[in-house]
Amino acid sequence: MNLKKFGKELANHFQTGVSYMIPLVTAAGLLTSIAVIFGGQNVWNETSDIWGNLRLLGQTGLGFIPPIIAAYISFSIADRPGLAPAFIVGLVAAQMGTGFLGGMLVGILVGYLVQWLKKIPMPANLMSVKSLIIIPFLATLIVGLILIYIVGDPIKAMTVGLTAWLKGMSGGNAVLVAAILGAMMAVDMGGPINKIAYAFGMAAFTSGGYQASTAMLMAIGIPPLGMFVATLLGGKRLYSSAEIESGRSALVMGIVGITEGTIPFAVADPVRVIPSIIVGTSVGCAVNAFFGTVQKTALSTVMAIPFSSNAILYTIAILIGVLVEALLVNFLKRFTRHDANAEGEEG
Amino acid sequence: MTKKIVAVTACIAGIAHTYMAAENLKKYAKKEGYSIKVETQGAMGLENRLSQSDIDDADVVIFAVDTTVQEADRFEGKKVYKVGTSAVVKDGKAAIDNAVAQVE
Repeated sequence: MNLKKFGKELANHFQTGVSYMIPLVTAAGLLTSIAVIFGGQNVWNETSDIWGNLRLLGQTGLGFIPPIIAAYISFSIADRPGLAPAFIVGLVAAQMGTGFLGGMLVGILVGYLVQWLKKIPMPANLMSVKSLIIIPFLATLIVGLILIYIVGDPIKAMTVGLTAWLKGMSGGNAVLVAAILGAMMAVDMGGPINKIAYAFGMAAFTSGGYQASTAMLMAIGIPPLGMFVATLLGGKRLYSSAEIESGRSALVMGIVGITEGTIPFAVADPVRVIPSIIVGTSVGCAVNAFFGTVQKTALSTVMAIPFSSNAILYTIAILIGVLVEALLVNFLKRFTRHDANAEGEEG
Repeated sequence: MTKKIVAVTACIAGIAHTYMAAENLKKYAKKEGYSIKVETQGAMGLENRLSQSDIDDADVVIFAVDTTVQEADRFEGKKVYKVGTSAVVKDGKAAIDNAVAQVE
């Protein structure tokens, strides 16, 4: 029981870290994408034109992922005193090449150490010394040394191994990973599981594992787009007028890449909608992996079409996912429930 | 006497669940005739911030969160009913009922 509670607490801390990281990843990911799209591959080495400079902005941001995730996991655990030490050690983790995993570990270590240091009793007149000097100094020193001398190298090895595996992924493995990522992105529509897959996909993106990032990013728009198509096909027979209205906004949300557009449908009818979006999204991502199409931007589903390695196959994969979802949900609604408005009120 | 409820909602991305959970809490609290104030801690930071006196006067505190609550020290000493945002989005009535049941 206690372990379970601790696990839940830890998940909350990770999620807080990820929530602070998301705007950083979107800003940096988009800047990098734009730079590479318009400037070509030579933007990586120079800052003589605007694209090189956009790349510099984006790449600097992406390099900041480990410190920001470390700092805000630690902040979540230990509040304000957790921030500064985790920023310092997180930056060291980034420079050591431990990536995302290193950032997470630093966040946990600093957070719990600071939390523990806070509880050590002190004479009242030494309290300010404790918060001003002892906590930041000790936390940085201890976790910093642990990182540099003990855990840094193994984590770096893990990150390198994971990256190599992601980059070298092909055939059945690639299809399986894409299917799993797709399912995870769909299952809670922007909730915690979705964000785990998102974090994994972005981590892969920053280290060049574009197959995984393509699958993850592609999954973002499929659930709402599928529900839009489902309302088109199902019409008034299967959907209330409010749902048809939600279908239109789901179209917009699907195009710009907000999975949450699916929530109104899932709330009204979770038993039929959630399995359908999981299956549809998973199939779409798997089909795309089977085609072997990748895109090297941080853009989601529809907006990435022009930048994919094969726009036609990529679009086909999206359409397959969308159609599977729409047909499945309508099939389930049609044969297991007849009155669309019966449970409208209770929500 | 009608119950006074204060709540904080926060999800990971801070764009959808946070606000839908807040709406749902308001909707079902109103249905039961309770007064409610909801602070959202979304992507835009703290909105509709609860004052210390709101919190002190409240009979029930609900945290509908997937992350940690910011400035949680404001709620020190209060009995808090904690739940995930998805659960509240799915079933706002149960969240209100359970929270009220906890203090009774």
